[in-house]
Amino acid sequence: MLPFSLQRHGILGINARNLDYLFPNNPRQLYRLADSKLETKKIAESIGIPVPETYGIITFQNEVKTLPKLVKNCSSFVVKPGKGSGGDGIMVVKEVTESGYRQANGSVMKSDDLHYHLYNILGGMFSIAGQSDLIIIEAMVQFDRVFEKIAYQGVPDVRVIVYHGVPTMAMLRLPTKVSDGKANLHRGGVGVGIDLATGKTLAGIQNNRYLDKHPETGYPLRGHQIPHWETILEMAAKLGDRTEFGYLGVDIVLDRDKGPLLLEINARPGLSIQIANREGLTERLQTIDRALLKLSDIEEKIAFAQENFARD
Amino acid sequence: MKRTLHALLLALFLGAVGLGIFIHKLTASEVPFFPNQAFNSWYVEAKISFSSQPSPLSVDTDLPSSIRFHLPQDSPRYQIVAENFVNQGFDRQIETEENSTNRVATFTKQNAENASEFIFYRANIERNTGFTPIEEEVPISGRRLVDKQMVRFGTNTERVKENLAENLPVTEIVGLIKEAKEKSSDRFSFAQQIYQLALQTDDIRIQAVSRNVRKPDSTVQIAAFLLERAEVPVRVGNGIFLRGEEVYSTDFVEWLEVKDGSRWLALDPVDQTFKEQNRYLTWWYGTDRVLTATGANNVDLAIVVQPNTNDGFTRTVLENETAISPFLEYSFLRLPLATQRVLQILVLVPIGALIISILHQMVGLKTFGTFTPILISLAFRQTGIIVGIPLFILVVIIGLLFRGYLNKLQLLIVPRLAAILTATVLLVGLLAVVMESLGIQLGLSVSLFPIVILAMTIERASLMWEEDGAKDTVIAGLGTVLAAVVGYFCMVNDYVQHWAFVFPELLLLVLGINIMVGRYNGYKLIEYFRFMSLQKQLNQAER
Repeated sequence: MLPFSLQRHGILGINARNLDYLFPNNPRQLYRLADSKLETKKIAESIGIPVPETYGIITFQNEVKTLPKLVKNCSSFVVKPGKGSGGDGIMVVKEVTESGYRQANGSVMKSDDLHYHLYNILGGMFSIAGQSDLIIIEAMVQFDRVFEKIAYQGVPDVRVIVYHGVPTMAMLRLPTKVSDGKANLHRGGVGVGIDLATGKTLAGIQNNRYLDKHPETGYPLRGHQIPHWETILEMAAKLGDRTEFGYLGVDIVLDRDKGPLLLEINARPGLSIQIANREGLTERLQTIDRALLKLSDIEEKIAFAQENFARD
Repeated sequence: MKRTLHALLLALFLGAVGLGIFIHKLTASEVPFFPNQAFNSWYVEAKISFSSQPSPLSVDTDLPSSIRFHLPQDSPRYQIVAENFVNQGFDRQIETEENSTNRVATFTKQNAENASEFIFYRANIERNTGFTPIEEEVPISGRRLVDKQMVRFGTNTERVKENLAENLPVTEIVGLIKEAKEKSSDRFSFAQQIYQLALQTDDIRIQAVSRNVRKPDSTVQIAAFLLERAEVPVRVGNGIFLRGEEVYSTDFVEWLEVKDGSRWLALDPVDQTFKEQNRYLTWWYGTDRVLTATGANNVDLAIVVQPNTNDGFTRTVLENETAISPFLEYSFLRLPLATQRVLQILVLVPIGALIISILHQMVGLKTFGTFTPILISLAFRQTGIIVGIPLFILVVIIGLLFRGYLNKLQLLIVPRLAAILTATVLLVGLLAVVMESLGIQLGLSVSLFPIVILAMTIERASLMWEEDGAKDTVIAGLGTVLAAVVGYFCMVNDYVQHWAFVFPELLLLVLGINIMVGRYNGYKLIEYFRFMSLQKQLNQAER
């Protein structure tokens, strides 16, 4: 009974994801673009998708000292490895104080420690294949008030899986205390399924287990309306449609002033989104495969997704 | 689907080619399908290294380099099937000594240059049919005696001979012979008694006699010396012990032989009986040194013994100089011993790699690095698994502690990795010394433990610790050890080793399986657990 239920419920396994969807649909040479946050930003800007403002880029070790100058006019900023994955190496500085940099979790980091962190990023500690890396310093997102009750520090984001430009499945990722303010599920963040048609949240998961309330704030996870939902779907569909990525994970944050901003794109999106949505991906992907030829533009693709993947 | 079909066809093709060659080899020649467990065949390789620079004290600077080297000889038990030499630049002459079966090879070189040189001698030894493989191991009670007879090469002085002629301790000799004669009835029991007496190293008479023989510690030589005084026809045999395991450098063993009519019978030191010598490979008789050199210095000799598990195959290859099949003609067994040894390990790597790919793609085991476990299991092959696992865990834990400390100093990443590497080398060296002094034999094996792999493992483990926490690190660490152990047991298996080396074409089959695993789009074993809660939800929803 057990061994066959994965197949029966159309749950996508990692081998099938790679062999049946990633390899045939995502040209190998494009991974570089998705893996590099700088390239991603360039692509997004070229097709008119808003991204968080870049304050500066550090490429060489001697430039690390210029950090205070780069962030002189900003009260908060985010430090990101250019080729990082899974949120590793990202550091959110909420406030620059006399004693040092106040992080999202409230602790204060000394200037030296932050510089050491920057050296480690440049050395390739967080980059995907361990190659040397660069650092992106960009604006901290002021997350939308909607999430105040269900996000613990850090920045929540919306992950949308896009298959050939058709939004396939979506999930809200919420940071927790365990995940150290990061929204990544493998670090203990909470994933909440989203009804693709309406943008309303469904049940949540943490470490592959279901939960109804946020583990720290205790606030129910179900039934929240994600603001700007149509815009989010449009951004995701656009990225899937205008780039050569056939199978893509799009991460979008909601800034309270600027609206949805693209955080990053992921050429190897994870599979936990299925757990959060209590549905396998295979069937949706096959539905898209069958209808793909009939769908010509982004509007049609979004409409198709909202019609076919609605939750009752 | 098209790709999967393509991969399937390729895999089938590779498998068919591999199996085809394999079956051809099996039917067209005597290549044994199963590894030969009873060792009937050995490689013996002697490496003479020396520097041909004439001694600076020598007057005659044009003295030619000359090396006289005893060669092993046929005995009732062992037969030399094939032998060959590597003696570049030297003339080689092999002769059999008069009135003996000793064979001596003389290597000469006219114009000695200032250079270090090597001479290789390699022989293929086989146990004669008719001699059933009796127990190889010496019983523990006899071990000490046999060990006592192990003598090292190169302890000799010419002065002993002069001493022998001039200062014979006649009284002591006569006393010892008399004592032995009183307790014995015939020649053999006399020889036994003499041998017993010679074992009493605290006897002052024996001590006096031992000063007159070439090797004062050798019971056999003392006994032979005494027996010669009593005019018993006696000789000292020198040879090596052919074991079931590979020995990198072995020592010569001495034994005593007494003539009975036309036969020579050897004294078995363990049960004190005389019988035909059938324990050792006879190298030479007499108390000479195995090699003498003029016009050369820094002479050294190393003898490697390797049991040959692929007995029949070697015979097939060696006896039919033009082999029946081109696949035999170009087999690994025609390569030099050192190359063969490398290949024996090398052919195991694809097997380990296949296991890793199955564990990764079908089971979903997490490890530090993808192929690190294979290298660790190759290291386990050297250390043995019982020593290997604790050693691995110990080194990784100490390395992690060291890295944790370095982290406080905030070193840059590459120098830090280099520092960990250095610390690992020191750590392994220290462990080897400590283990050695505790009497745990690691020596050689530890030096082959891939230190770089250990350092990388430590680095990865500590990174993972910081990034993903202790739980994931321990899981990946256990996964690494588990994969290494699984790999180890697959690679250390006699059959796998035999088939991979003798039938390397089977690796095409391994390649084919690998290609199929590469197109496996089913679920990994761990995904059944990962999606457990989802399955439960969906199963409930169905009802």
